[in-house]
Amino acid sequence: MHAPTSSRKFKKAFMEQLLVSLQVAGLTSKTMGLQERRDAVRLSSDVAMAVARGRAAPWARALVARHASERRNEALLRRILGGAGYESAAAAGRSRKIVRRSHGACRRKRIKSSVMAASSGSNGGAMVARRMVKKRLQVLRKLVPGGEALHGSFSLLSQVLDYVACLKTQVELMQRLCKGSPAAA
Amino acid sequence: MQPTTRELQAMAAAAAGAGQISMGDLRNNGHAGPGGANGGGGGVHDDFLDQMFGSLPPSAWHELATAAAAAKPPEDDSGMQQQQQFGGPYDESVMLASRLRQNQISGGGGPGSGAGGAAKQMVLQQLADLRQAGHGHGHHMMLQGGTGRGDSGMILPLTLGNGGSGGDVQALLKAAANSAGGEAGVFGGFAGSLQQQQQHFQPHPQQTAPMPNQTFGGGAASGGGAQPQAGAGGGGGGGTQAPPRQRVRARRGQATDPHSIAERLRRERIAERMKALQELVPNANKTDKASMLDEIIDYVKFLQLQVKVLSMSRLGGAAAVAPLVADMSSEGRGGAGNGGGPAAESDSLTVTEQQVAKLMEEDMGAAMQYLQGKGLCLMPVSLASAISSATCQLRPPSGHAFPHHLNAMRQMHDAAVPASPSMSVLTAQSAMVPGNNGGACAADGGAEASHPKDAASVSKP
Repeated sequence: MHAPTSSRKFKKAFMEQLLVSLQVAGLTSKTMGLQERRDAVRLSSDVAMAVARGRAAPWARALVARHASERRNEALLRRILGGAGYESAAAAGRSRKIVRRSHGACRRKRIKSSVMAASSGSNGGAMVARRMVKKRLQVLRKLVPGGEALHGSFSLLSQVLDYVACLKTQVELMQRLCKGSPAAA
Repeated sequence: MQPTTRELQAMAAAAAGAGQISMGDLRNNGHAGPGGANGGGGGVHDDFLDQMFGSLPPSAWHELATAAAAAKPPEDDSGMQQQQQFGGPYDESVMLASRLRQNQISGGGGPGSGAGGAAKQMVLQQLADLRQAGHGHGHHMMLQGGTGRGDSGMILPLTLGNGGSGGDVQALLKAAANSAGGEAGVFGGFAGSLQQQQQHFQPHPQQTAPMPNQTFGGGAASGGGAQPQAGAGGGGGGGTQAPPRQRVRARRGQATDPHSIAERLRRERIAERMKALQELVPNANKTDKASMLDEIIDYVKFLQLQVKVLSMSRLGGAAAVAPLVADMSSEGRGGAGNGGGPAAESDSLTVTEQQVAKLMEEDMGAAMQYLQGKGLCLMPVSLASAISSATCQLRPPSGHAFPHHLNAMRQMHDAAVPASPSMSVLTAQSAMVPGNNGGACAADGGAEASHPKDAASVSKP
């Protein structure tokens, strides 16, 4: 099991960062629209999760980079991460975009060729199964942040494992916050 | 580890004395172990192995073991002739040991014999190629096979002992030494088996006897030292027949060896990951990899949607939350949050109650909407007390918060207003129970029912 993601220390760090981020996001202002508020909350929650997880996890970096690449998040992210953190996240996001595009193209070409080669074979059943698995892995790659840049199904599965554990914690913590704080509508 | 030492001692004794008796002992010990398991699964492969190992003359073990036993020249000749042949099953058995272990590790030990049967075939074939592939490569593989858990290493000698013959004993020896002395043991033995092909048999037997003892003693250093040398050759080279046709047969299972070994390792790691994911994802009792991935995908999507919905809710209670921040960071535990939380909440709750009371006088609908905006609902007092008593049992530390809330609620309304149908109090409760960080929340959740938008169904731990 991935101990770091479900430990108390992680939860505490996550929660702390979440609260700080929420505060920084300035959600108390009533002038915020619903959408804006939701995005701000989502952003601060994701960033909190990524920060609590640390730089070690590729998906955490990718998640922050994904948020950093959107212009409108810049102000809020700058406040949460600090100037230096934001810069590195933005840089990571830019390089990731380029990498992702090239990876996507490579993968599409490779998949097409492999599919054509594989469909003709005596062992059709296994080929079909493997193709199904590959398709699902592709979907997973898109779901998990930073999945596109991962080589090999093994590392992808490790990241998925980590990410799922962290997502569960995120949901749990956010629920607790929801229940725990009666706020102005 | 006890049986291991016993077996090792038995083998050491055998090394010194009559090989036949020790073989019998070992076979008995082996049978005492998971003999049934081995016999059950992989029957064909067992037959194959038996055939192979049965071909080894019983005297092979004796020849191997005794240092200066037989006359050198005839031994040498026969050794040379039989080196090639003996190397086959011996190597294979050692490799088989490691692969079997690995398979058992990945297969969870349960279907170990069945997986072991397949592994055996693979391993045999791998070993056959290994001999030609060269030392370094083989050693690498042995390292991969050798590193690891002594527990499963233990099982190997026993299962192999079922095959029962000289080569098996060698494998047992090496595998047991491996589990006792770490990878060095296997290296020592394996090095011997590999080296035997190229080295003369003569100098080796002298080192044969001391070498196993060293590995038995857990002499990692000595075992490692023996590895690059030809010394351990005697450990392997008993000169028994392994007809080439069996090598070909073993090869039928795989295409190319190094790739298949690497691939098998990779597949095992993936299986390990899938198992870990299975524990994490609910409803994951699927055996099929594709459907398992389907479940994982659905679960990730579900969790992401949950986060989205939760962020839409009134998480913007940063104002109320701010006091919590100071408390948590200063005192550093969720328990502190408990103390800070209810205090802050009680104030805001009173305010809320007054608000609602005022609204209720004017317009019931508006009051309900106001409440719902806060994620609260009105509920019959009897139900509230029932819930709070249930929650009190679950969360005694935060029990003190309840009476306050209950009183507040009673003051708010004495009419029994039916609660919103979407109320799922258990959900709120279960969300609170795990961890003590939600102490404040538990008080709130228990008394005030659930958030109408709550899409989560968290299972109780």
